Amino acid sequence: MNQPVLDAIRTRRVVRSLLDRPIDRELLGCVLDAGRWATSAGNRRPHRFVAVQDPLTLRVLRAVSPGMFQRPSAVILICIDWDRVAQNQVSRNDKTLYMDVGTSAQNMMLAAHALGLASGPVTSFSKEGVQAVLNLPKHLSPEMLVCFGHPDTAVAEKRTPRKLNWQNMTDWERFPSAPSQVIESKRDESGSERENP
Amino acid sequence: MSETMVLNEDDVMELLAFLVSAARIQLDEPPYYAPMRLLSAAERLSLLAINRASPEGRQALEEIKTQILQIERGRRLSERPEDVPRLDALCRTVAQHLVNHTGLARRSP
Repeated sequence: MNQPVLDAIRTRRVVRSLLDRPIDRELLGCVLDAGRWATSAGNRRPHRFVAVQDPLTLRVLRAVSPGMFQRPSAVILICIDWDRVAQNQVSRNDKTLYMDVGTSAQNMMLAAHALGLASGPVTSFSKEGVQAVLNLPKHLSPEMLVCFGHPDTAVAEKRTPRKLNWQNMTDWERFPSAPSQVIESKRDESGSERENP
Repeated sequence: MSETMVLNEDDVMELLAFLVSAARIQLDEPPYYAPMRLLSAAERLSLLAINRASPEGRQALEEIKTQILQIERGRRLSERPEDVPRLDALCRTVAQHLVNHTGLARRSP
């Protein structure tokens, strides 16, 4: 069976060995479009994307991003738009604001993979630094950088073998009760060991 | 001692930005990230300096860069004891280069 979505999900990896070659803006547009189609709590869409391709801007952005091991040809910054958050009367502490950053990033990375591009997320950066480098307006907070480039297939990426699979990540249905809870429950059912009111 | 300038002002500011950014984000990150950030700074410094270094310095920087890249930075150090001797070797390489480069090795005690 041809399952391109599942294949893309299973074969995508974070790739940090990239070629020094620009990415066509049309391709980057496809990636941004995939980010736009990500799920968003309440369909509120409180995010903004900032796409960067200028080499000097990328170099300075990398300087304030210690987690950016790669040298990307393009970066998409995912921001929360706090004006939109306020317009939608969403609490500033609402965790879905951050979850939706993740769904957008994942869609973008899968789209990049489908287009033959390499990608990788970066969260270890100075927010103040990124604000300054990109001259972001105050209502946008930088939350995640997603790096893109053409993969350098001549360099073998280090892969740590993982024993993780969906089976050892998953429990089915209800968790079993702890032994003390079982005894308590039996006592309740029989009533024989209940204390008098 | 050599007077050769291997960094320009842009390079210095770039590395400075990295260091202060790393200091800030380290407040939010697990403590075991700290050695990785320092190694990243060392790698970036090596790459910035390598093109303008003397032949001898370039050779040392190439060796240092290679040794840095051999150290796995995706996991915590306590999970990978094999990297401790690699870090020790890296320290030895840098120190030995410094001893040779500064002329310390040629001085009589």
